[in-house]
Amino acid sequence: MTDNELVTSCLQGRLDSYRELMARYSRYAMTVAWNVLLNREDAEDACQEAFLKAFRNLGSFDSRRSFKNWFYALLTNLCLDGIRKKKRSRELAVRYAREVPVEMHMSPDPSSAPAAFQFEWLRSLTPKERLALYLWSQEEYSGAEIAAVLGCSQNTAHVHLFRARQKLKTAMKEA
Amino acid sequence: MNRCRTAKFLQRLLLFRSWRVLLLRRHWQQCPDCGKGLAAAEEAGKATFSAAEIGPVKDFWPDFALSLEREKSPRKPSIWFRQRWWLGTAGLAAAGLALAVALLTGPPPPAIPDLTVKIRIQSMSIYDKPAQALIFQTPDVERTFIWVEQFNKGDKL
Repeated sequence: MTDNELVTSCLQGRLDSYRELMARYSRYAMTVAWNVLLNREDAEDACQEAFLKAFRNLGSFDSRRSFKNWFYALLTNLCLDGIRKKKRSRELAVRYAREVPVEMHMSPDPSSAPAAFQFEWLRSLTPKERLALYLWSQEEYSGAEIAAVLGCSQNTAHVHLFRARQKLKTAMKEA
Repeated sequence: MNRCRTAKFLQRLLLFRSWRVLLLRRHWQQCPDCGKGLAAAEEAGKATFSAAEIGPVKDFWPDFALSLEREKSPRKPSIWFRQRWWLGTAGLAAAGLALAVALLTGPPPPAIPDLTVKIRIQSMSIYDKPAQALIFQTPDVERTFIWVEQFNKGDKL
């Protein structure tokens, strides 16, 4: 069954279809979230929330579109929201608890980190740049598809990708 | 790679996936532009995490099903809470009943004797002129003061 057939089936009340969709996209969703958030726990939370939100909003999904891109867009928004919230709480922590040392960068889980240098390289990029780079290099997305996921114009998506590649080259040279 | 017209043509127009993959691969090996694009993508791929690199993935289904279950059924009060509610209601009913029985069957309250002194002044005059009187009842039942003063013009009785 295709993704959109599973969505239709799910809308007809078959919950197993959604379970199938979840099984199909768990790993991809986790990879996207991991690349954006650079942290396993946050990525898992984002994925869990994204699956629930997608299920609630399944009725508004346009079956002519790709479910994968729609879901990635939803997941990306949740990841970016998560980063914003985290940043805000860090700023508050810095403002009101100066005596408490606050780590200002994302902390990857060292036990599950595939390679530390990847984190270093990716940290030099913004979350949107990381996502654009991931979608382009790992999932072979075109500029239009990246734009659909990021919710921006195609030109902006190309700019994100271009900057990501430039920064990455610099980071790789420095390493 | 995305700018190469031949690659775009192959991607769009070839119907069979196997042909498309085969011809695209051959084209990429020969085309210098596509080669550069591939190399760049490969380089970028080294920096990003692939699906294979992230290790075992959590099964999201159990928590998802739990969330759905919670949404479907609103929270029911626990058995203990429900028992307490019943106990409280029963206690209140018993107390009400006891009060009603006590009121209906108990002895009548003793009559309180009327000890107040009733004073009524019909008229008051000082040197044949009308005067006004004020009666002060003190807390002491046995004492009452009467204040009489001359009535001036314009005063109200």
